[in-house]
Amino acid sequence: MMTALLVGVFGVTGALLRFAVDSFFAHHQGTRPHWPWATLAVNVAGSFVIGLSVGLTGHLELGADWHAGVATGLAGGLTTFSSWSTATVRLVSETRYRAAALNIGSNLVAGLAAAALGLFLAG
Amino acid sequence: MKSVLDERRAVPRPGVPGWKAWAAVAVGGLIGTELRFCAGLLFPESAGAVPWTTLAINVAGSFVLATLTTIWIARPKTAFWLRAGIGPGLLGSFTTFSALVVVIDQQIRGGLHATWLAYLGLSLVLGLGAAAAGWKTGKAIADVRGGAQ
Repeated sequence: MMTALLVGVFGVTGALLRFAVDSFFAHHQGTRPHWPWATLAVNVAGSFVIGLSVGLTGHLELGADWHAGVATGLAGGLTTFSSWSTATVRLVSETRYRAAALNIGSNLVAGLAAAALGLFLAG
Repeated sequence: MKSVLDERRAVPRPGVPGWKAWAAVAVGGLIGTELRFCAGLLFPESAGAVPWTTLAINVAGSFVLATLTTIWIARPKTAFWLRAGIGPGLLGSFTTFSALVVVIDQQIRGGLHATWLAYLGLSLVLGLGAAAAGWKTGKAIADVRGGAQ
């Protein structure tokens, strides 16, 4: 019960942060063609958070419920797979194949690097 | 006059979203996160095993979001708070990128190279395939509705 509550509170926090980043990038879009920068930013940030939380669980006595709150709630709520896949398909539908491939590659590479950095820092 | 107003509505200048949108994202985010949490309780992903639950969540969420996105492109008058609550709120929180990344990280560290390559490949093919299928489905629904009007 406690775990579900923490996951919920952290999940809402992650979702609101992601929406704030989305709105920021939409507001500062200018005349450049659309590219999902906001999704890249939250996916990298959330991957860093989950790396940190997994690394800290080992030796900080981070309780299982708090770990679930941060990993499943905050990192899970902050990051998104559906916006990433839908944006990729949208770029393909606009025949912007290079932008679509870049979207796939940059999220994966930067996300993996951020998770590894989080794990390393939690060391 | 009316056409000018319609045009403004069709090409909105994105400003700071109103409180309704934030509230909808919070509610959607709560539902999406708890749904993902409950799916994890019903179909637990033990450490070291292939996380099928995360994969299924991401595939399902991609299909629904892509479907709704094309419907909303065809129907731009759908209230912004509703789109925000269901899209970035519910579906954005339901699906997850961090769980996918951390699992692949652990599989790479464990030397399970065939496993992480297969899992990454499956996530890409099924996730993007679901989004593409959703994109086509949404277009078909929008076309049928548009034709009926």
